[in-house]
Amino acid sequence: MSGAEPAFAPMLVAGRTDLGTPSLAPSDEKRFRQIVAANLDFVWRCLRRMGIRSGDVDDAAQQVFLVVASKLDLVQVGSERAFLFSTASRVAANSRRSVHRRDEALQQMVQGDVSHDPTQEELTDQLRARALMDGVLSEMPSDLREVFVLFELEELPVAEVAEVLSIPIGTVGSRLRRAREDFHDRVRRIKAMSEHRGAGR
Amino acid sequence: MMTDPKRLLEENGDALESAMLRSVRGDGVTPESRQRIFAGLGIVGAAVTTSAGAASSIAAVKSGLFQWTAGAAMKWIAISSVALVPAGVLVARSYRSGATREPVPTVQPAGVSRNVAEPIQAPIVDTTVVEPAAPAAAAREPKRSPGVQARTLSDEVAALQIARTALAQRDPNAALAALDRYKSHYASGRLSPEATVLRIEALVQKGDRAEATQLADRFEAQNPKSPYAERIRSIVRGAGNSAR
Repeated sequence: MSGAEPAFAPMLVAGRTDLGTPSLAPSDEKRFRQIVAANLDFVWRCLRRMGIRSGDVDDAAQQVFLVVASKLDLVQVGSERAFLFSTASRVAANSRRSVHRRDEALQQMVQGDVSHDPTQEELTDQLRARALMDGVLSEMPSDLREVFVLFELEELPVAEVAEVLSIPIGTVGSRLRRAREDFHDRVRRIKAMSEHRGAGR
Repeated sequence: MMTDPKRLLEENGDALESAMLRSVRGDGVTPESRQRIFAGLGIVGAAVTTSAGAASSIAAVKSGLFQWTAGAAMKWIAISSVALVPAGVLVARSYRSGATREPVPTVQPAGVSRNVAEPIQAPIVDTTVVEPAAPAAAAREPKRSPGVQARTLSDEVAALQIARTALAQRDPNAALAALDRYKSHYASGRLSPEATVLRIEALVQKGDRAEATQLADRFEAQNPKSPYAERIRSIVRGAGNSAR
């Protein structure tokens, strides 16, 4: 990962335990700043793509970095992203369990209790596509979703996906294949339901 | 060396699949989110900008067009944080004349997506760190009248952040204590309306609906056109619904 410290160098406020951030030694504080600066975008996007709603992602990202701050001595240099991603996965999973909600648009479509059935044209609408994507990702098994998010959406090379997930490259390949099958199946089902409703009008 | 498989989007596949995959491309941290997260982590004073705004911001600064005063900016951000972003607070910019700056490396997050519009973390010139609880900073820079104003407002923001954090942790008593401290320090604080909104939230969270309603009514009577009026009504109304 990049170790370059940003020129804007955010500063931890010493002893601000009231904000929930553990007090850190100066050297740790510097490292923590670097980790946050270098990985905030990555963590934020991964959380969003692992099912956290946009309005909740900030808090979830903050939670991830608080975990990092509290376990900084356990985070090996060079393995920060692996630690961050695994923490983000857990935070996302906990959030899904506690909130247990799916995208309304997808839910309505699946349950078929909508007053307005979506047409094929409407399905291609950007917002609906995003809602469908969120729904598909939230229902994908977590081991497949992780690989799918990192490879297809984050566009990391396979080797880097393996590094972030701490799994062999071969396992990445097999999970990716299954994740794609899962994705194709779910999209096919969505389209089938949509076409069925369209024909029934 | 093993070649990575093509990504689904590169395979000219199904239109709906492509639309779904493309739909996540816009994901990214907004400057407001970045500020919120930094503030929540106890990191203050981070300059943020977006890829779209970075170039224009820097160009504006360089050409002397950057006229956004610290006070106005901080007030706007603080208001936004209370009115629009319930779980966070933002730490704002302040102009520190004569501040020395390091050379400006562009931060390139490692391994970030290549398909997403990346926020460019180039620092905004003339944007600097505000440390709410660092008296030593004042000693370092005695001649900084615009900064004094910024610091005061920054302190107010930081004080309210404590209350907000307590609320997020479902600790209304701590929030109320923080708000009491805010009130004693900033009797005529510029963020008093925001503090009132937080107090009403804290009272509701504590289960003291009567006092919350009383305070809400008083606020609305005194500030009938306040942008917070609807939010306050919503908070009290929500408390009423959950009580039933």
